[in-house]
Amino acid sequence: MMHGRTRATLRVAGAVVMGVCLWPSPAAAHEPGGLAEGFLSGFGHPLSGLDHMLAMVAVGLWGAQLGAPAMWLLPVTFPLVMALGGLLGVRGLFLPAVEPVIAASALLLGAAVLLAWRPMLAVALALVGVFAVYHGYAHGAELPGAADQLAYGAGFVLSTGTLHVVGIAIGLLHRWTWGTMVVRAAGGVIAVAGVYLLADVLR
Amino acid sequence: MTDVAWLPAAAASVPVLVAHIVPGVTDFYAGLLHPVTAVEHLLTFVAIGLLAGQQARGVARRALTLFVCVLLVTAGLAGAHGRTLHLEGPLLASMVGVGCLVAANWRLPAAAVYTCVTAVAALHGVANGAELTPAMAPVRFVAGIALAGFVVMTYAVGLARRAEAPWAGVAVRAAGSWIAAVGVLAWGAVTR
Repeated sequence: MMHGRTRATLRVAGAVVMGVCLWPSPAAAHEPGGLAEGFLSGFGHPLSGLDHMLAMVAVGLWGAQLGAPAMWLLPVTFPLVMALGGLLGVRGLFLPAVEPVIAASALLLGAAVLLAWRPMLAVALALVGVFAVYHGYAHGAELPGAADQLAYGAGFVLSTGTLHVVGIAIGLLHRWTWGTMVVRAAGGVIAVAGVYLLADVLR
Repeated sequence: MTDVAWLPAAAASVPVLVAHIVPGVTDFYAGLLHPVTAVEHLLTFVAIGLLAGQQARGVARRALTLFVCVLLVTAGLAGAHGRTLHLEGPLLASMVGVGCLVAANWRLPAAAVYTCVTAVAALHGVANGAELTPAMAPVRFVAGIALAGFVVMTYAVGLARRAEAPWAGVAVRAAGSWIAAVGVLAWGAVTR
């Protein structure tokens, strides 16, 4: 039998899902495209580029591998640092070598997971912070052209956060011995893809 | 809390159907939907609810009541005053501020929580109430705004109060940080 609290949580989750499913119809009826379109283009942006997607999953994997406090510091601080990078992108300020650094971030973060690298917390946070600024910059540069800029921002923050959660969820396999190898292998796959992406950018 | 669980879904689907059948109810639904379909209001309401939910039980309950009352009064006053306002900057600043407080997860003094709740409710009440047009019935529109604020904040308080597991507490903090991040980005776009 299902625990009462679990059932209540499921009911709330069901209501939220239902609300989200029903959402677009009235919103679209009031202002064609605006809110929904902005949200979807923002949500899709981190998912459309393999470099963003792999790097964000790698952040989650690495966080889970490092354990507390890195595991919870990353999802809490990453979006804010990313938003500061996004601010640079929105304002159109210059940031050197955006595409190469983003490709390199997939390579380096993947390699860190593969090697189960455990640097000092400050080093890990600084490294991830620099990459957060670059990823935010790339998403932010697209924001001024969005149908609804707030909805675009909400979409890309939500999808980036979801990618972290996916990474952390996979990374939690780390607590079993066989899982450690699975997590490191996933890091290896991301690192190899990073090599390809970096070579493609620098070509 | 679960008894009102289906309200947002119902609110999202019903107005289009009901508006034309019951005369005058359109203004109520316009008020109800206005804060919920604008990202800067919706996310700030969620954030202030999470902040209240992170506090002691009594503080959270009084903050919820205070929020709805201030929202009702300020929206009514702004609607009666009837002037177009440009509050994008302060609205987004409130979103960033409250989001950061949720991410920090401090147990604040009760007075600080009430001050914060009052300021946010007044700002968002004025911004929502100012959207009232002469053709609308002010009481119905303002009642809709207050109900939307009540429902959204109740959800958020409930979620934060239920976050007992360590990961759930982190999820609440992450939500605050995500809301602040959206505010920072939108602020960049608005003030460009």
